[in-house]
Amino acid sequence: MSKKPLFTTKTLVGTGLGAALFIVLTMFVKVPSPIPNTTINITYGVEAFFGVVFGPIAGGLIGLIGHTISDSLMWGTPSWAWVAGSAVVGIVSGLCYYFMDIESGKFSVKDAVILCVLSVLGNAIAWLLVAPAGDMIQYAQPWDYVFAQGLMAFGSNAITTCVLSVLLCFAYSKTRVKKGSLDIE
Amino acid sequence: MEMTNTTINKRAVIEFNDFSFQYDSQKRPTLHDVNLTIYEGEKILIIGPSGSGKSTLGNCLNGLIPFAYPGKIGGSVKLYGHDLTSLNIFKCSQYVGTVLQDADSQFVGLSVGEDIAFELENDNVPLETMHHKVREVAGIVDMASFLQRSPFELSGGQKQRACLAGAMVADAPVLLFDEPLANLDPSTGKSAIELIDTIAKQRNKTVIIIEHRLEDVLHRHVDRILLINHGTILADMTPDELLCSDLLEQNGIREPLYVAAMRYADVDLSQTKHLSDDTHYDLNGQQHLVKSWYQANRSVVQPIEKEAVLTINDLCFSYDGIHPILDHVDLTIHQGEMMAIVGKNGAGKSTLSKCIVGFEKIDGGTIFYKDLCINDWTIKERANAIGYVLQNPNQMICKTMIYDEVALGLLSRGYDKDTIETKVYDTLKICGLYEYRNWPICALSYGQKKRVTIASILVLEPSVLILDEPTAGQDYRHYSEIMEFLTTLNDRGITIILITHDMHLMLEYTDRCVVITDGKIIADTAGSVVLSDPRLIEKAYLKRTSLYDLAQKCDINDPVAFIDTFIRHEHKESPL
Amino acid sequence: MKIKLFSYNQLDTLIHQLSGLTKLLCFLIMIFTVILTYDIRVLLFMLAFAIVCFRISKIPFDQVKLIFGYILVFLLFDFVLSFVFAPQYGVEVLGTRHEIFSFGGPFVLTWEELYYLSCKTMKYLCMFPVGFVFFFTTNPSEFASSLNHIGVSAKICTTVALTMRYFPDVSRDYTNISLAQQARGIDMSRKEKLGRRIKNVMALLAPLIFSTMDRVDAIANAMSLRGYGKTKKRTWYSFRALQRNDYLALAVCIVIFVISLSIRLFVTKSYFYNPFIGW
Repeated sequence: MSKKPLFTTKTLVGTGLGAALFIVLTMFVKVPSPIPNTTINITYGVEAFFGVVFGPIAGGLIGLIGHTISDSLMWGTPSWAWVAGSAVVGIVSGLCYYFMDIESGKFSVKDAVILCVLSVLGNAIAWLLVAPAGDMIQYAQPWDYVFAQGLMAFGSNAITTCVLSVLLCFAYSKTRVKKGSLDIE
Repeated sequence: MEMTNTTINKRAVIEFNDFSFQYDSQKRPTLHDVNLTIYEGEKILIIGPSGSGKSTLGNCLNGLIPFAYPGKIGGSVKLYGHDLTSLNIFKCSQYVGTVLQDADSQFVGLSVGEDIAFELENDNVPLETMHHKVREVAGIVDMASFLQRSPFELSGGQKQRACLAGAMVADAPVLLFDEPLANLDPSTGKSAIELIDTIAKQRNKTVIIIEHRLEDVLHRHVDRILLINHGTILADMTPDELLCSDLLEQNGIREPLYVAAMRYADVDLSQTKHLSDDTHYDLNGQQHLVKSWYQANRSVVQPIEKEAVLTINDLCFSYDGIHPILDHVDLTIHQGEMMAIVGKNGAGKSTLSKCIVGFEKIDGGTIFYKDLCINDWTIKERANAIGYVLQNPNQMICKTMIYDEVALGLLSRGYDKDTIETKVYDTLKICGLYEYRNWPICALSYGQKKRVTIASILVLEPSVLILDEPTAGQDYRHYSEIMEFLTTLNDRGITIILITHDMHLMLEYTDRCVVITDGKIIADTAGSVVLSDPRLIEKAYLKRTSLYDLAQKCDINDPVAFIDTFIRHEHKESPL
Repeated sequence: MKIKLFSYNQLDTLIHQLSGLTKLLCFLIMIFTVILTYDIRVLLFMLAFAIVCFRISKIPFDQVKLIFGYILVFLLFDFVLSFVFAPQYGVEVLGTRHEIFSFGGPFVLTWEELYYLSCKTMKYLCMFPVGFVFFFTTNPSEFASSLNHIGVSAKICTTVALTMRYFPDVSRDYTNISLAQQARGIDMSRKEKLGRRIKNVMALLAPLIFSTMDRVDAIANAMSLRGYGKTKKRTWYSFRALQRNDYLALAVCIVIFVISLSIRLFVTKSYFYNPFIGW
């Protein structure tokens, strides 16, 4: 593993702005899904992308802060179990930070595969385990019921996380400059 | 005027010795052979075109280089006798307080008070001392009654004042301003320069200003100007000396308009007195040269009647239903015009254009495109007739390749592949981007990116183009490039509406200027008339052009005609 | 455009006057009280208490009317779905069974199920006024300093403050970008095919995210230049020290918490209070 800094001032700012984006996307962007009357939540793709760029702590905090605030704005109070789920998605997909060097403009197909695997894993832990378990503890609900909700969230979130974060990473890596490459003619 | 040679006895606060710096991402050094000493209490202006290295030099003063931007350092920099590399960014900030260009990035607090206190918070200053200090500093910049306000409730000028207070609060002896005038309306920019001057004098600060808007900074005295280009210091002289030389023109810096006018009139600049002082300069008996040049070159343009392309009747708009942003606005825009909409921040300029392109739903009134009422048209339908270009090209660009970016609007309108290709190539040719068609956008300069965004709108063949601050933050060369490009589009018959704070732009490139204040149009006439009318200037937060004062000094009774003559002459002389 | 986070309104009520730290602590205590109980008596009391706080804080009901409507729809939905998924869950957790009506098959409505679902709905209902009161009466400035005072690291607190600071900026950028892309024909509605819709989402996200990333460096530099990160600790300009009323409010909340927990531990001796025993 590389010796990457864990939480610099830049990471902190990236996290703060990432969480702000999380809120904006959750509240304003409604993309209709193929299933009638449902919308795709594109937020997790962006969260995973920030995880790749800034690391697991940033990813986790973006989910934690972003989800807490957006829930509070929309519902008056956060649903804690799902907030924890959002944090987990960010932490797990943020592990990519240690395997990749996107800031230098590098993002390969192999990196994309790792990102997808970690995104699916993160979403699985979040929506099939953490969120339902949290809801079960908090409201003493039957496992089947909370698990069914989690399964639905897992299905759509895992797909959008993979597709969007990979697309964003490729696009972002193309905007980064490589060391010693700039010259004026 | 202070004597600059007395500074020799003063303490040197900043010393550069054979300094060079190369960013890790660059192939060659951005700065080289820099030798410079700045003394306590001096007021220094650093000018240079974009990419000259002036911002890099500024970053060497506050420690961002090498602590935030790593790279190779050659030679040495000393801050108060300490070698830069032996310090860290926090120690540097004890000597140099920085006010960055973008007030929105610098203003990190949720209220004015909190933001001013930011540095004290980081120093673990106890609450009571902190509140006391914040009140004191806020008083100096005249923001004491705004401490509770959030940044969204402040104008650009107030935000900058708060940032200045935040930079002063820790009592650093040197204040560094990185392009303080960008994004400010003319009158606010003028007050900012006055405030900086007052603070420097009252609190004995050493002040360093980085700017390319020379004329605006020279509104108050500066001791020395450093001209930077190609990574090194080309001139280190007093403003009067620099204005007399040819260095500014050679390096793509715009000289003050009154100095340019004197040059046209063959005034011997070395014979003038206090040339850099925009109110007290003295032509020293050469006034007649300006007057006779004016009389020789004077010509009057006849306005031509044109067809209306946009007619706005009784337009009303407000965000909250209580405070009108646009208050019964009537405006007719003619085919083939190039016009400017000016006014202070928040006057309603941008809102007006957003209402025209359908970004905002109007509360009342009608908008006609040619003779069609477009009130019910969607954003997409309006875009076929009226294009809108955002200020920041990075907010519009969404593809990685130029071709795809320009083709995007056509794709969504369902054109076939061949038509799209023809149209995109034609547009790229008009915009001078054809050779770059297969380039990635990230390899382009800011000005080229701006062209790409204009091309991506132009490809839909609108007959009206609205641009929000097209030249914001650009140096003279890029500014001229963008504006000349817009002029060629205008020559092709496209109506161009510019929303701008830049009085030079309005004066030089537009035939008509609409002034908006508090949601009402208070003037609709030529730019030269607007900038000669003290009542309008005050109401709309504009700034009188220095050509007006020159005309008065030279006893020219029609300053408006003098300004027009100057502008026409300059277009003829223009190197582009 | 003026967008204020949390629609925080500056009023001068008893609750507004409390320090942000007090409100944060009370908020957390209340939430834990509600989470840790399934006793209808405690929940009824909590709901009443929350509504009283809501009234004291003078939050205009108009401001929350819409959210409240959504919440009611959600709760109704949840009520029905829970029953469909596990109709006998109430019986299972309470250990008694009193039938009311059979819909056929396993769908037998029991008093226990009805009681269990009402308790759950009540738990949700308690959370909302508590949240409203906290978010509508706490000055966003004070929020970060309060978090720091309950032991959250200063860096995380600054992150939270930055999120609140830049949320309106990002949301304004979003509006601009989205409108400009709409003008170019970017459509995310059902009118477009799914593949194209995703491409269009990218056309919106790319400029929004990359222009946001552009600001990260600028803001981080501005903060470093003003000494951020010099030491691990920092003081907070907007922190308000606790007054007599703050201690009083905290005491009230702690007493409620302790009583509620004692009922569970010593009186009911279980998570669920079963009123049907002995029917």
